[in-house]
Amino acid sequence: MILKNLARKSAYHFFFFFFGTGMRAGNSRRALDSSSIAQTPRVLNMAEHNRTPTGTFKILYFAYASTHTKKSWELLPAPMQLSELFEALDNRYPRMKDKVLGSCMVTVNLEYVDMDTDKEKELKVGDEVGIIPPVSSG
Amino acid sequence: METSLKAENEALKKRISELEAQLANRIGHASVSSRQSYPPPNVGEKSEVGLSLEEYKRYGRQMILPEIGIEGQMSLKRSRVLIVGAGGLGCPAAAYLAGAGVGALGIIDHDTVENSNLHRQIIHSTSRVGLPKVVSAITYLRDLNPHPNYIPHIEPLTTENALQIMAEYDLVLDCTDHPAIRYLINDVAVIMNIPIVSASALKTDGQLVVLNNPPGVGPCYRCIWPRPPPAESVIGCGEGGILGPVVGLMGVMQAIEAVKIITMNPVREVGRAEMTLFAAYGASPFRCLKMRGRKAGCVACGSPERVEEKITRESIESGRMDYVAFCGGSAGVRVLQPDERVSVAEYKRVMDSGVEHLLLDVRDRTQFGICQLAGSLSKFFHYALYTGLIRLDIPYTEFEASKYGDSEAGEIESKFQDQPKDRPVYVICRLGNDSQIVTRQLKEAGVFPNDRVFDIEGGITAWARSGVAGEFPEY
Repeated sequence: MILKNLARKSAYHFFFFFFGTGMRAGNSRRALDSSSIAQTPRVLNMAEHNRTPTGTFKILYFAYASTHTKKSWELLPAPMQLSELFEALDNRYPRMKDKVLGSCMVTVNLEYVDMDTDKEKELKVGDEVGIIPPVSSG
Repeated sequence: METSLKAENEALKKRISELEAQLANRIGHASVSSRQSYPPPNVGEKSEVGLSLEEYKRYGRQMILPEIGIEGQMSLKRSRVLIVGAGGLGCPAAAYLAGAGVGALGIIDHDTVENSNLHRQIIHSTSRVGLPKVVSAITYLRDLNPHPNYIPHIEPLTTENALQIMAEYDLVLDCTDHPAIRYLINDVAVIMNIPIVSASALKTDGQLVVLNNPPGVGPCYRCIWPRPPPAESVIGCGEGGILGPVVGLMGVMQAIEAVKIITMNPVREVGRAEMTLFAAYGASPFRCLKMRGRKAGCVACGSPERVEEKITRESIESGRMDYVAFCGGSAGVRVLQPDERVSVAEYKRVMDSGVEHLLLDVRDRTQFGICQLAGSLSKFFHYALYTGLIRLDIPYTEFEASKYGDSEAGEIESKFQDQPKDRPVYVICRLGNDSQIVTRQLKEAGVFPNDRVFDIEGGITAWARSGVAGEFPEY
């Protein structure tokens, strides 16, 4: 069971690592080592200086959105209607809508979007979406 | 000889602190009594001010900037700024605004200075630990620049006093640490037509945004975040950690925005609202987000569809607005029955008795590295979570998928397999919140006998404070 789990995780990360950055592939061990891929600035760096692969948009998770997804960014298939975004994320990360997204601000290409009035907006290939929760401590 | 000198030194320091506190209170009372005689500055006529020769010299380096000039300096001297929260954000913001020569600087905070504040709350000091933060801050600020009128408010900002206090100011800096008070500041500032410079910081990241600027045009806090974060996702610097210069930077940026607002020449174009996100360890540390103007249907600054939802002076004053309830109350976790928990003293007895048991430390690896109880297992737990040996749905905590080498993974795995599942299990974390959630979920997962999984109340912190095992670090 453990091995199966390991294999599953490896495969997932392998896929993500290879497809996600489009740069290099590792063996499964190396791919597993990148499990905290989204947390390390080095990898972020790579991604930010890289063209977004065809057919995807990039989504950035801040503060507790990042805690919930356990990553700071990822690539999602484009195009997608803005109105479908929360549902898509909720399917990917159970209860995210309820626990995270309901209180978040959303940006597209560094601009605020209104989840009520901008519903028709389409997220296009290469767009950068930000999920920005309020941080209250200081 | 040396001891008596030390004692005398301590006694004098204490006396000075007492006198400072008295002095600050006097000034506080004086400002209260003088309050009635002036109309609120943001609506009344501004009295003419001048600069002394000493002030020309003191402010010269900023006055020669075309952005400031003598008009800007006069605007600063006429301004009345309120800083809510004399913590990591408020300290640097207050220092720069005092240094820049604002006319009146009010500081509101009900806390006292603690030793654990000092790595980031840089205008307090080791010798002022235990004093009200407001008193400590004003002591520093008066030494930095004696010209501003410092107004101490040693009390929390509440629905009862917020309208009265904020009426005295024409700009407010939100340097607080809880969403409930952020919504309160927002609503009152909108009613009073005061811009807000709002910032926050946690861990290595920060947010900065200017709200209600100009009043009635720029977005307010509720336009951007109409719904508060779920209570369990609200973590403070005490739990989440904070890098001193990160919160310092955000506070300094608040001072910059405050100076810009105060010295804004009306003929100059008003900048579009932006939010700045800072991530110290990000590849591009600064992100500027373009914001929109206020939302037409905003319950605070707009006209909501349902009129009764509109927040008014009356709805705040009457106490109808319950900000704490709106933000989901306090986030203290209580998911277990008393018989599912043991005190640190009870656990110490288990430890001393030599009863075979399993101690699961559920803190993250960084915290585990700082200090741990003898025999506690942490890697094991994270590995078990990561590989799915234990399946838990734990929100908002920092269970990273930790990295392990092959040999290590095998070792931990066999350790788990070899672990007799009939021994009692004790779960510990830093403060006793996460451990309750894990205890509950371990029970539901059924890996161990249900009646033999216990939470250690108050966690490592209670262990350290109680002194059951002698000296133990508290962090």
